[in-house]
Amino acid sequence: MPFPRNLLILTILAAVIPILPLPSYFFHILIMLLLFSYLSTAWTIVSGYAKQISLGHSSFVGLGAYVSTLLLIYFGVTPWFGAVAAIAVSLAVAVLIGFPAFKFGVRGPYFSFATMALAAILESIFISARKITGGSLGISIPYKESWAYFQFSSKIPYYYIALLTWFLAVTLAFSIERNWFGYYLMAIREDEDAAEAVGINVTRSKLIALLLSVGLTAWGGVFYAQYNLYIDPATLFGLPLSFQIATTSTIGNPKRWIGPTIGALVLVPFSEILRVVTGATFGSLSFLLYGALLIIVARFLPNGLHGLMTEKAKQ
Amino acid sequence: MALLETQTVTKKFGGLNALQNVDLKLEKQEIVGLIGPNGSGKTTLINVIAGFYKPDSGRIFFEDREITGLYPHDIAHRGIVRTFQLTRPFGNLTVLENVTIGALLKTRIVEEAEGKALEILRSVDLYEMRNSRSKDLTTGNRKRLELARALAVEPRVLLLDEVLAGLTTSEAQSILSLIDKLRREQGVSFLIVEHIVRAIMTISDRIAVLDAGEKIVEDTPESVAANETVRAIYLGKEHV
Repeated sequence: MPFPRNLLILTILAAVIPILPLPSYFFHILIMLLLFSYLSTAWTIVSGYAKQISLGHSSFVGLGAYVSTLLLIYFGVTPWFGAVAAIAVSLAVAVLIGFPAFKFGVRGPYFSFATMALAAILESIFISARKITGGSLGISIPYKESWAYFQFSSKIPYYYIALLTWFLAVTLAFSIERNWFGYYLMAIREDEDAAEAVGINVTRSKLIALLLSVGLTAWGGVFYAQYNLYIDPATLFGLPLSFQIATTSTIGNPKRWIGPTIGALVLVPFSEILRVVTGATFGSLSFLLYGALLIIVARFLPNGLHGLMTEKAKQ
Repeated sequence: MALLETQTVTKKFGGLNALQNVDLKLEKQEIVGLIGPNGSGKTTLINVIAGFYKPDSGRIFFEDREITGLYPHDIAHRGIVRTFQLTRPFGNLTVLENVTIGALLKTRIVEEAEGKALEILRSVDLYEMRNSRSKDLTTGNRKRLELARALAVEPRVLLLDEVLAGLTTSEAQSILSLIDKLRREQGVSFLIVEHIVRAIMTISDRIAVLDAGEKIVEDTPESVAANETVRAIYLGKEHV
């Protein structure tokens, strides 16, 4: 399996950026870029490769953030251990919804609706458990700078953690794509019955893909909580986040390992510029434009911007 | 016991008896043709054997072990592989990728599976088309691809659901000789559902005739061709 050299070069270049005297706002953008690339890459493993389209992946960002944060606040558990618990809880929830859904053939849009419903249910649970979670006001994580508490005064350590986890996720996506498991997921994406007929355990393969995706996503939630030091149910469990993750991957190319990263390279700066230009008044404007962009890409670019780039390269 | 055996298999869809007490045997290296008018239950029988439908009653045995109610992928693992009447390629994937996926059941190494897939593509005359997107193939090539993908799984029994339908005479002839070669050289057994009775008569060792879900005749091709009941079903009673 030849490792993609471009990915290595890109990662090394990204790793030396902090040498430059850049403002911390710049690193904030880079961290958001890496986080959304990471989350969309995780999403693509189940929703792009196997086409089990989740529109509720915020469930697992939220669970990741809340489980580790609640453990930190109430029991003083370091987020590094909290992350393990957060991932375990997210995987358990994923099995709870994924196993029956896949076992009993909840396919296509019905699976998407089920995942949306999960996120909505979790959001209202975390809002109504006000005594523990602070309800819709959310939780501020007390600031205590130390490695042990996964809190840093500078953006640089966050940047390196985001870069490392992004690199690992993209490498995982790449190796799945080149291995038998990736071929199985492609077969499932194309025709589930035909996949069964050649001996593919469709239910199990989908579940494994979902669990890989969810495990990665939950870590994204832990990271977000520790980076932002404030979490609230609407932001973390809400539909906008789920849609943003799905849109990022779809615009890039949901079928290829590098697709979600390309999508994030376009969308993260795009929404940041939009936010600066229009201000908070037009917060929802970005979603309108997201929608428009999604329609254009879905209609004219079946393989996303990545497909467009590779076609141009061939010509 | 035969290699593959169905015992009094019954399958109902609502009030309709799609299959009624069907007994069928398939020996090693044997080719059995399954014929019958539209809606007589031929495809249903394939679906039941391959695990896509659970029979309401009756049992199915393969290599002396019961396989009734197993999942399709389990049944494929044991060595029974079916094709689909309306071909179902992995449409956006290339011909080579389609067959490679079939070959990945026996080896988990993609390069090995690809090598095997290329070999199979040569044997079904699809090698030149290996990099074409499979949904762009002609009907004849899609049928070949359907067969190639099933062969990649290295089946001991192939359930072929109308692989000849829609092919020209020479295309059908080349598929028939491939089937015969697989039987002789690799010892594969075949249960072939076919509408084109003439094609199936020449290649089958035995013919089973289904009508309204019941097996009415099972005999050598010659006897079946001469059978009054069969002629009545196909040509109408007044012609006999």
